[in-house]
Amino acid sequence: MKVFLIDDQKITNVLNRKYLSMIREDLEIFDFDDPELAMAALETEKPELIFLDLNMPIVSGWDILTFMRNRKIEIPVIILTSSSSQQDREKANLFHNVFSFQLKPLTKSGFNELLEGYYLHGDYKTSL
Amino acid sequence: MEVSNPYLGYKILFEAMVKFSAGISMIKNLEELPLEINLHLKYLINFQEFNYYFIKENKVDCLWVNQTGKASYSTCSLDQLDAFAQQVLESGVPASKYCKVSKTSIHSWKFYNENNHFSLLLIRSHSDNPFADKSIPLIKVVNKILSARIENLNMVQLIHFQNQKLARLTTALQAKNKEIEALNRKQESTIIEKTSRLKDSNSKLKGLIQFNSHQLREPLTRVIDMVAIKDDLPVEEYISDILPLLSESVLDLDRAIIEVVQRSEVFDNEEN
Repeated sequence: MKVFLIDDQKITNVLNRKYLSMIREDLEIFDFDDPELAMAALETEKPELIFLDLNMPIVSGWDILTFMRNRKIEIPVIILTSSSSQQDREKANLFHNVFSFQLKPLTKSGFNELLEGYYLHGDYKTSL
Repeated sequence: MEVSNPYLGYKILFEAMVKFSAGISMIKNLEELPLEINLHLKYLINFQEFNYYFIKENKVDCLWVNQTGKASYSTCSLDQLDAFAQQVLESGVPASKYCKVSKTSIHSWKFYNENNHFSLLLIRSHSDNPFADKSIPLIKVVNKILSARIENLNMVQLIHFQNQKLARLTTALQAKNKEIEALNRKQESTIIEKTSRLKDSNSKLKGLIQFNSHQLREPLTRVIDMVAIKDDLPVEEYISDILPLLSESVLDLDRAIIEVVQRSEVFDNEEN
């Protein structure tokens, strides 16, 4: 399964990649610290799951979500943010492909649950 | 004034008294009173000069009328009255005196009126047409009418004076009210201005807090993450892959703290 990690912090991508590969060995992980490159790769690579940060300079997580909506790209997204703002949580709810809103830091068990949820529920929207 | 028919005499007297009384009740202030007396008094009694003093504590209203139609009103103090008047006032006994040279006599009475006020009535008459004793009852009635009217006019004047005072006070009060209203408006606008400044700085502060929390949380979550992953990785891998990143993140955290402090100082300066 192809998974995108989009976070402007390289270190976060490194850590998340380590966690994910610990949990499952069959994941093909692409990480992007430049959201614009990620946006370009969305249509060519067609990932099945995206971990997305919100607060990024120039192109934000919201920009990517809006881009996907405009292009009708229906890929499930898990938001991984350090912002605990309720406003962000409500705004995320408006994008129907966002199926989980997670506050950083997310550890191994957190990733584990998220992936299990993703595989168990074909209708991923329920675990939001 | 001699009338042979007694009935006709009384009729004339009655009419004169009615006119005298009605005229006096019509006047509006003390200054007009002597002129009004002058119009009808000559039909009631014989006189050359008529003096009427209304005494209220030390203040005396002086009314003066003479046969030729002159009349005046003035005020004086009690001690300015002449010796003869003083004597009658002191004794309270009616008195009269005759002057051979001018062939005139003066009759004087003191009356006790309501509210502890006195009046003194003096009549000078010439021996050719002297004041008649039978007119004495009329003098009492004249005093009654005059004293009641003066009392009444004084009261009206007092009320008028108090009304004016009240009007002045009302004007002053209205002016003060306007001042207070102006002050209130000024205060209200100050409050509105201060409130809006407070709201403004509140929202700035909110923004600052949000910024700060994100700015600090981001590197902090990385540090927490790297501490948490320790148990899941072999020691060698942790030392080679994670530890360098950990120190980098700690430096990021330090930089973030410095920036947050600087921003707070800028905010502080803007507010002051």
